[in-house]
Amino acid sequence: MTAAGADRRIPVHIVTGCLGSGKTTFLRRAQESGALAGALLLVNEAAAFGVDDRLLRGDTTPVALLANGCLCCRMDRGVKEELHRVLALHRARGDFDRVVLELSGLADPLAVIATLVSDPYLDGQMRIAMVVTLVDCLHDAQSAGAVGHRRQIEAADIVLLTKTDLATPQDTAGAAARAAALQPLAPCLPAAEVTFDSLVARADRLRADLLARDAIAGAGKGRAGRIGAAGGFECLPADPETFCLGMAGRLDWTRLALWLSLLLHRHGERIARIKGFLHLEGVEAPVLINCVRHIAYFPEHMPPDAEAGAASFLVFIVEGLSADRIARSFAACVGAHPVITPTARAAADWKA
Amino acid sequence: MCGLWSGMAHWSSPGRLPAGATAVAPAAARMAQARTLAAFCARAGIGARDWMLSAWILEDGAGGSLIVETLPQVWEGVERLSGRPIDPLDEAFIAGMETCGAARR
Repeated sequence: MTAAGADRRIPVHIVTGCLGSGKTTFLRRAQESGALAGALLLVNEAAAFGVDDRLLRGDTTPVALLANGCLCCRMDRGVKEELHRVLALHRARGDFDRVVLELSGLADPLAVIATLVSDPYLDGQMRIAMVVTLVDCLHDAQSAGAVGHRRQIEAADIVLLTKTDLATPQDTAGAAARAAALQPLAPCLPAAEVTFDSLVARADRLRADLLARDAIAGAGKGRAGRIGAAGGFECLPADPETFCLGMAGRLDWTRLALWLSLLLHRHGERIARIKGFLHLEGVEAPVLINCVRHIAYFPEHMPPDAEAGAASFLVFIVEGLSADRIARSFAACVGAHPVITPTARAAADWKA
Repeated sequence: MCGLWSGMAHWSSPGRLPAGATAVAPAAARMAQARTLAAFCARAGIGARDWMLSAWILEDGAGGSLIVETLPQVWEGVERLSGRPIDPLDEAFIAGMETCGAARR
């Protein structure tokens, strides 16, 4: 458990997306604008030759290459070893204070997240600050349904739409709608309008999902953000499998951790995301909970709430699990009685 | 003993509890966790108790036992001993926990 303000671990920004989705273009633009100064850029490629690595080299940004296949193929040892190497590099050189990890189009970001959070040493030194998923609007309709593509979007804190200049407005709107259906908590924006700097600056806010609080307050009911043809946000019907449990009063962490652990263990494959703020007994600051599938990030303290007595909430994105059953199980096991709100809307007011 | 040394940190382990999350000492927090865990495991007919604040002992009614360290290992252990997983969304499990809660109050 770490306080957000005092967290000295090295932030890791993960950039993921299908092959050809524009990850390297996006990162080159970031590099040219100087946004990667002070960052170690780690490139994971499936190809034997590090093409992206070559494109990105030639700047002062330190670049390391993860060759020999996807990170997920080497999950247990490969990723762990590479990340340990990054830490050794950090101790030896000290010329970077954050890591940008570009994953191969074939890599599963969940494998990387799992590796990092389940290794006590790595987790003590590094934290995943943000997962950016790039979606190619031209080819998204073909990729839709592919498991790898789906997992990249599920893990996203923000979805960036690429090739919006080449795609028709219908293609763009379709890609945004598909992303919002899979991951309604993540804002979805055109990559061309977003700078890497602005993402980094707002990473904590993105992760914190302040707008999900609106769901508790009743604002934005049944809405999920998506980008319209004109570039503004419109609304589309909420995914019926997204809902929010709101709890008044402070919660017992011991009971809650047991319940959440059991739920993730038993039903993780049907849990795309659980994210939320909890007010715990004896702790002033709210605690951020963030789970993807079977994986829970280590809980973090967030800055104290301005409003006294703010409610706790957990947003669930699930497949085929009953909201009512989850709420009853929560009540029986944790001892607090949640109120179910249909959905949380995406960060519609989020501007790059 | 090996269970004591080879385990990995888990997000839900007491060392990861929020600082000051309870007004009681870590050992007392562990005991509170043990009571709740025992109630969960009892639904599957498995006994669960703390061992030295560092491991969990799981026991079935036929003399079988396991020593595990983290909660995921507990859930797997219960499944191995009882032959079925604990499902927190199962009606019987929820009803059992509701009864437990009523008795506690």
